[in-house]
Amino acid sequence: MSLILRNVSHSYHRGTPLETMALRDVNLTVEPFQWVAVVGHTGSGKSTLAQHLNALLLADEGSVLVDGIQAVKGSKDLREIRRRVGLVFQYPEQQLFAETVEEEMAFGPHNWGVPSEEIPRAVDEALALVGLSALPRDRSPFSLSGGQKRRLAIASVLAVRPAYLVLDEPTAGLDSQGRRGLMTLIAGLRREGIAVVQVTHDLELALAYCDKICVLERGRALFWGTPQVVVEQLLDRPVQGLILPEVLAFARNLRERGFDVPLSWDPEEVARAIVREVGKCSS
Amino acid sequence: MQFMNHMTLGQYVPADSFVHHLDPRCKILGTVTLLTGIFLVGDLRVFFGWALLFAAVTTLARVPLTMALRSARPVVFLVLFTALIHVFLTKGEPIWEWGILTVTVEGVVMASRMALRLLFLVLFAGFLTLTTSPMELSDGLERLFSPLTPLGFPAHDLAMMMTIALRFIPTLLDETDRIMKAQLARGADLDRGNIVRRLRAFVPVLVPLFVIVFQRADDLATAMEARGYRGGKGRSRLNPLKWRLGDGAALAVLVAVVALIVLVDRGLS
Ligand SMILES: Nc1ncnc2c1ncn2[C@@H]1O[C@H](COP(=O)(O)OP(=O)(O)OP(=O)(O)O)[C@@H](O)[C@H]1O
Ligand SMILES: [Mg+2]
Repeated sequence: MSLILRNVSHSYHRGTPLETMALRDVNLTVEPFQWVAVVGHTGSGKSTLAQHLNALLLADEGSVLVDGIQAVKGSKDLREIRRRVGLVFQYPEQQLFAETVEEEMAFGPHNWGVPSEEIPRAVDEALALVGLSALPRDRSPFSLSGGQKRRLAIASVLAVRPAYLVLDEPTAGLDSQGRRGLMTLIAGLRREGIAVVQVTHDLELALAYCDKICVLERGRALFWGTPQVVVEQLLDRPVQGLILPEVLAFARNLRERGFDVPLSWDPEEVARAIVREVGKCSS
Repeated sequence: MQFMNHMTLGQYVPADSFVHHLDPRCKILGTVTLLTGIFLVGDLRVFFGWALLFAAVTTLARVPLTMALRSARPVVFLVLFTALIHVFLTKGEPIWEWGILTVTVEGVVMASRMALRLLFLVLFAGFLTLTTSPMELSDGLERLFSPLTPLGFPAHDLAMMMTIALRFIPTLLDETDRIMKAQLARGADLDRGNIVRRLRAFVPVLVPLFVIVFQRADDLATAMEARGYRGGKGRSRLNPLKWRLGDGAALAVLVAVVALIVLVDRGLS
C-alpha cells in the first residue's frame, strides 16, 4: 500500500515545436503515514508532478502506481485513483462554486457515489479535520474569509476520505501565522492516517515538518531522502533557486571557521552549541 | 505556452512585407471597399477578377497561398449548406428532378454566386487579420471612428475594450484549464451523459470562472485608475499611426481595381 512513481517523464505539447520537458525520470515513493515534501524553484515541475500523483496527467514514460493500481490511459481505474489521492490545487479557494457550505462539501462525495445518508457525517468529519466544525452549513462559501475558504476547499477534498492528500503550495499567500496554522492542520491529518504530499518552494518549511523531501531541479529529482540526508546533499551541491535556511547557513559559516557547531537548521540546537563554544573560548 | 497564446489570438502572421507595413486604416478601408465590391458583383465570370486580386495581394504580402486559403476553413460547411439550399429552393427551368427535389439552372447559378460571394468575403476579411496584428487593428479602428467622438460615439473606449479582451483570452483559457482540473480532482464528470447533464456538470467550472473574471476586471480597473487612466481624452500614443503616401496610393489603386471589376460586372449584365 503505497504511492509509487517509477522513472516518470512528462512533456507538454509533445511532438510540436513547443515541446517542454517538465519531468525527467522521476522516482518517488510515498508510504502510508508519511509527510513528503516536493521542493523546487518555480518551473521545476512541482505542479506537474503533483498532477501525476492522482492521474490528472499521465506519464509519457515510466509508471505511476497507487496502492497497486497503475495509472494508464483509458483505464477505468483512473477515477478510483483520483478518489484515493485527493489533490488540492494552488489557491483552492478559487474552485468554490456552491451556494452553501453543505453543498460545496457534498460535491465530492456525491460525485463518487457516496450514499446520501452517509454524506452529512463525512462532511462533519472533514470540516472537523480542518477546524471548521462551527461553520454554519447554510452559509455561502463566498462570504467566508480567505483563510476559511482555503480550509473549506481542503475539507471538500477530504470529504471522500482519501488515503493520500496532495497539496500544491498550500501556504501560498498566507502570513506566517496562517502558515503555521495550516502546517498544524496537516500534522493533524497525518495523525488520522492520511499520507501527505506537500508541494512548496519553501525549503525551511519542508525541513521543519516533513519526513521525506524530494528536491526537483528542471524536472529532475536531484535529491531524495530524510531532511538530514537532503541537507547534506544540498550543502555539497546548491540547487538553483532553493535558499538554505538562515540558521543552517550561519552554522555552516561558523563550522568553516573552525567552531564545533552542528549542521542543523534548528535555531535552539545551534544556539546551544554557540553558547558552548563561546564558553570554551573564554575559559 | 507563450506561442500557444498567439496561435489562439487569431491568425496574424508577422512578415516584412509591403502589405504588413501599410497603415491599418488603409487596410481596413481597403477591406471595406473590397467587401462592398464583392456584394455588388453578380456575374459568375467576374469572380475570376476577385480570385486574381486575392492571388495578387497574398503574393504582395508574402503570405503562402495555402495559409491565406486556410482562413476559409471554418466556413466551408456554411458555404456548402448555403449552396445546397439555393440549388434546391430556387424556382426556374428544371434540369434534374428526383421526387420532391428539383434542380434548376437558376438554382445552380444562384448557388454558385452565393457560395463564391461568401468565400471571397471570408478570404479577404481573413487576409486583413492575417497581415494586421490585433493591436494595429484596434488602433486603426479607433482612429477611423474618432471623428464620431463629438457625437457621443465611444471610439476610444471600444478600442480599449477590444484590446483588453484580446489580451485576456489566453489567460482565461489557462484559468479554465486549471479549474476544470481542480473539479476533476474532486470527482466531477465533465464528459459523460446527455447534453443537459453535461451542461449541469459545467456549473462548478463556470461559477469559479466568472468569479475570477469579475475579480480580474475589478483589479484591472483599479490598477488603470491608480495609474491615472481617464479614458482617451488628451491621451498621446507611443507609436502614433502615420498615413504615408504609399497608403494613399495603395488605397487608390485598390479602389480603382474594385471599381473596374464592378463596372465590368455592370457591363456584362
Ligand atoms: N499547461 C502547460 N502547458 C505547457 N507547459 C506547461 C504547462 N504547465 C506547465 N508547463 C511547463 O512545465 C514546466 C514545469 O511547470 P510546473 O507548473 O510543473 O512548475 P512548478 O514547479 O509548479 O512552478 P511554480 O512554482 O511556478 O508553480 C514549466 O517549464 C512550465 O512552463
Ligand atoms: Mg506550481
